[in-house]
Amino acid sequence: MVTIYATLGYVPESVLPSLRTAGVERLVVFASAADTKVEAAVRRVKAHCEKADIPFTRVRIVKPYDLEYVAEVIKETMDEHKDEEAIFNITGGTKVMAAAALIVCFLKGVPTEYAQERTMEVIRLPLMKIDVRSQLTRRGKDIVRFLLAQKDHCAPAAKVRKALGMEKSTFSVHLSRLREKGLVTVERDPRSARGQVVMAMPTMKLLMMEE
Amino acid sequence: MARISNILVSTYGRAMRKLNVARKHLPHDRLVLVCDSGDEDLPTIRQNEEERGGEFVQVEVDPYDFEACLNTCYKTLEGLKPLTLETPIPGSLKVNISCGPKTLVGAMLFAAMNAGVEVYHCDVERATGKELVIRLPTVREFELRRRFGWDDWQVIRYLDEAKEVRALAKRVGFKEARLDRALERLDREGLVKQVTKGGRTWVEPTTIGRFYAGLAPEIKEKSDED
Repeated sequence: MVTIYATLGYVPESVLPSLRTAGVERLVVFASAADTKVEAAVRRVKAHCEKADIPFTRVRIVKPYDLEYVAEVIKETMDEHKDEEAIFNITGGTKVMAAAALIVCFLKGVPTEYAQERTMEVIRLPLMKIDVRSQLTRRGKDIVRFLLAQKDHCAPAAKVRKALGMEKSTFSVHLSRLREKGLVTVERDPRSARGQVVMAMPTMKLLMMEE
Repeated sequence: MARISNILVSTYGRAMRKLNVARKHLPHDRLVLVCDSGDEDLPTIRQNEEERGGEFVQVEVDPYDFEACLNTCYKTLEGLKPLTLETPIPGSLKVNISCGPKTLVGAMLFAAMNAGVEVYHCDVERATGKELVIRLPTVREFELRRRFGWDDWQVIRYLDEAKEVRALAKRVGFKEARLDRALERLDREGLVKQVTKGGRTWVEPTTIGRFYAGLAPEIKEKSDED
């Protein structure tokens, strides 16, 4: 049995081709809240599902331009369902929603598909599984995890080092590697003449989200 | 001619407003657009870039052919990477994926993850008109292909087409148990699927499997150099 997930915007037809997949168990759509055109599209898709006797769930996306938020909502929803098999239709909604869905699907190894606007022909995108975490050192992960747990994902370098019980030289090596990869940035601490502040790339949380 | 140091590669498809946000916020000397050949905005974009002293390059692709998009995007990024390093101060290579159909966007995102290039999504919030520049969680200098070991690459290089398991083992020169372990890993990574036809097991490459098979000679060349 297959659960179809889909991002939905103004065009209900973007979702419908996926419902032709054999063994569809349910449809879960992610659609922006408070947009009348989107609401109309949701109603049409829901009516179609009722007619075809397919259980329908709508998940409201309150911030459709916030990548991190959208990805978290998608991931939490998919975690709840624990599907036997899933396919994600990324045709509708904002590109941020589609990008968030793609990233979650890359992390989870869920296949994605796209209904071509002009013909509504479904193009199945290949399964792409990524695991960036496996490429980070244990110490590197500790630093990133610590930063992600802080307000605004940043903290003074000395605080991070002390909290993780790392020697200055070890900390410096791991921090440099994370900087080279673009995962953290280091800036002067405005509150201290000699201090530095370390900040994690905000969307790094997505790469660590399977933990 | 001045050396190129900062390159912006963007997908494109009739979305000038989003592209303009990327052009404004991601500094560049060269703009490379990957898009359909017939886009009517291209002459204007070229003119704008040239007027501000930059270079403009268009890379043609059928934006609805995922495999073509993936190969074109990856080759484009790999081809551009050395240019940013040839300058006295190393420049940057950045990718914007806010324009064009989502097949092209997905392909560019995956290609950038493979090439270890930073990816951005630049947009304009519909309700407020606010310009958004979002860095996607791609990791600079982290290349997905590096996750495969020697055994994996020995198999991947033959993934250009479906092969019967025993024939593949013979071709690769592995005993079946060793091949099974490699295939299990590649299956998990989405590069192959195994199907039974007429009592025999066949290994079929996925689109991504064929993509990596195309990279295999280049990988071998690099490891020989090392």
